[in-house]
Amino acid sequence: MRSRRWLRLLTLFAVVGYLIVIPAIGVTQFSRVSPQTLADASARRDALAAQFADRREQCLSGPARSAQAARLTPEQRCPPRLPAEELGPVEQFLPKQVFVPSEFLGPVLTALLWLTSIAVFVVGAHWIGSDLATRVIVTQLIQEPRRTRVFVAKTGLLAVVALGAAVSVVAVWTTSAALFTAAFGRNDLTVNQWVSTVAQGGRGAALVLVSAVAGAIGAFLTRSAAGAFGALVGELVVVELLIGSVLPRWQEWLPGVNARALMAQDGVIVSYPEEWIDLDGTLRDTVEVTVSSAHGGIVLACLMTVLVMIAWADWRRRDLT
Amino acid sequence: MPDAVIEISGLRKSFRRRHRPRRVALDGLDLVVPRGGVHGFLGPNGSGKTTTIRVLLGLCRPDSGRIRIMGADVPRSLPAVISELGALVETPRFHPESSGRFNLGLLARAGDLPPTRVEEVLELVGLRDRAGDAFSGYSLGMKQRLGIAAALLGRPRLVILDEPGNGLDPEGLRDVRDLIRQLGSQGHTTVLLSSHLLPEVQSVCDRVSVLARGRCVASGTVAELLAAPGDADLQVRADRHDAARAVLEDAGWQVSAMTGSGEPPSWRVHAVADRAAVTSTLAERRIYVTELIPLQRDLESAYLELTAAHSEVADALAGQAPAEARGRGRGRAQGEEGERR
Ligand SMILES: Nc1ncnc2c1ncn2[C@@H]1O[C@H](COP(=O)(O)OP(=O)(O)O)[C@@H](O)[C@H]1O
Ligand SMILES: [Mg+2]
Repeated sequence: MRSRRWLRLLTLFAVVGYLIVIPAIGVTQFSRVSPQTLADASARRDALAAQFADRREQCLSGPARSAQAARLTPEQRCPPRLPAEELGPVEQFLPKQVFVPSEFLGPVLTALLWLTSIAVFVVGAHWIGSDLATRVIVTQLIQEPRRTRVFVAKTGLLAVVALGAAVSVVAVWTTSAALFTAAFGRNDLTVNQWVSTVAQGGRGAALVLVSAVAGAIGAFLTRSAAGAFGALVGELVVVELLIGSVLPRWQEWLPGVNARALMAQDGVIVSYPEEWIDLDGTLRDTVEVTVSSAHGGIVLACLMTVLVMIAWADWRRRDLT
Repeated sequence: MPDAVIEISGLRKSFRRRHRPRRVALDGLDLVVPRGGVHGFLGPNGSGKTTTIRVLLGLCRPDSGRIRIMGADVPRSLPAVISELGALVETPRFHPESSGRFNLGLLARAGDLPPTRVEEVLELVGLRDRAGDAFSGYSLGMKQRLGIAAALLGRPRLVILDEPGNGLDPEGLRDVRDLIRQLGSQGHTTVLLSSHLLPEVQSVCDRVSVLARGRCVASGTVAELLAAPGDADLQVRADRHDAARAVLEDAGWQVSAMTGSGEPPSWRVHAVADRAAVTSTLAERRIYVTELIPLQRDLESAYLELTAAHSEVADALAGQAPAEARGRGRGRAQGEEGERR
């Protein structure tokens, strides 16, 4: 089973990569926050403020540089007073940035969940597709001829693995973020932000699940992993672009748009030009439709249900020769 | 419990093809495989052996017909008896990058069998030394052995082997033959052995069913098949020798010259059901038989005749290209003969 070795390698890379990359990013990109580093930063800010004050003093005591400037009072022509506090928070004067969870937690989580969605599609399509393409499935069916059971077992196992992957990604990233915050940051998360991060993880997990099932179904219907990839690329690139330009009003029903909507907290906005003809003639305008993440979730769920039924019906009746 | 492990009646199966009429693979097949021993399933390539086996295993849906395995209706009740069944269909299919042992292990785990059973069957088919190698690196014969090992994994009471000799060297053939004979003699297992090669079947089978064009054209013990009445050839010599041939052919028999039967050569009249009909037909035209010898046949010629005759009959009845090319008259004559039998 090539996919097995391949999966093991992938997992190994992911874990090792994570263990090396994350601390490396932490050390190189972020600054530790301790009383000592904060005192240093505060000193740097004070030094800058002193420079400003110096320049202001020189300006106030010196003569005006031009006739125009001479008409103004010294207060008007010189830089204003800038106390250290107005130069910005102390953290900005640390040698590197500070890890602020409210800025990093959500976007990185979203990116990781997108990657996970792609990964589970590939893994699912490859796993089921290789069984069908090599016809190992025939050997399996000689042992277990109940086709529905085989279908449910394979798709179900994949769904469980996908959900496990999504939960691990959320858990690992939030744990890392918490560690980052403790080591290099300042916890500025409000309860609301925690709630929306959890919701983000949940919506991402739903997309990961949809993606895994889509990979399995694509392979079941086309009988190979390559067929499933082809169908996905064809759908996302050809169908969605075509409909986006020819029938822009239908955009809100496209799987890709709904997947993006599901992942985005506030949904996505699709727009299309609309023409009104009023008394003055033609008035062009653009209509914007917000596709909410709930809309995305429901559309994807319905689509997946239909596709699963089609794939199952085809699988149940198909001659395996 | 009925005494037959496989009962098939009126099985039809056709395959849909793109832009062409459906291909009929099984055309009303009847087959009974009694319990015990080795049952040969003999037929030329394309006669429908593999399709029959696929339908038996639920891999293909039949168009119509009744199938029972050990009393269970197929495909509805197949799951009830599947644990008693082991099969190798056409080419063995396994995960190419994994070892033979790993592949069998997966099957054993799925079938709740102990891992020790994997080693037992590997030993049985003589693949133990190479069991750790990747399946893709196996020779055709080794793949075939692994397929047989997989079929035997669950100690099945019915083993179906589809052309297990494919790709085996003479030594491998002998091993597999011995193995099949041994399985059949244990009393626990019935083996259905499909092959297009007569020697493979003849040397190990207790009973044989012969398939041609999706139908079972003969079934019985090897001895019965050899002695099948109505299928015997006759060696015929008559006073008006050339006229005799013309008369016999007009009457619908297939006639050929027998080499090594003197000068002029005797006629071989093929597949004669009723010897008296030959003499009386000739007598009506005032031709008198001087020599009439029933020919003892070997299974080889019985097999060739059975399958060849049926192919031509089927061609003729279906009005398909080969018969048309050969000429309508002859095709029809043979068709009538086929019906008479
Ligand atoms: N999947 C298929 N599609 C179309 N025709 C098929 C298919 N499988 C088998 N056939 C046809 O059915 C007939 C019987 O084939 P098969 O059962 O494989 O014969 P055998 O195993 O006796 O050589 C052949 O004419 C073959 O071409
Ligand atoms: Mg075959």
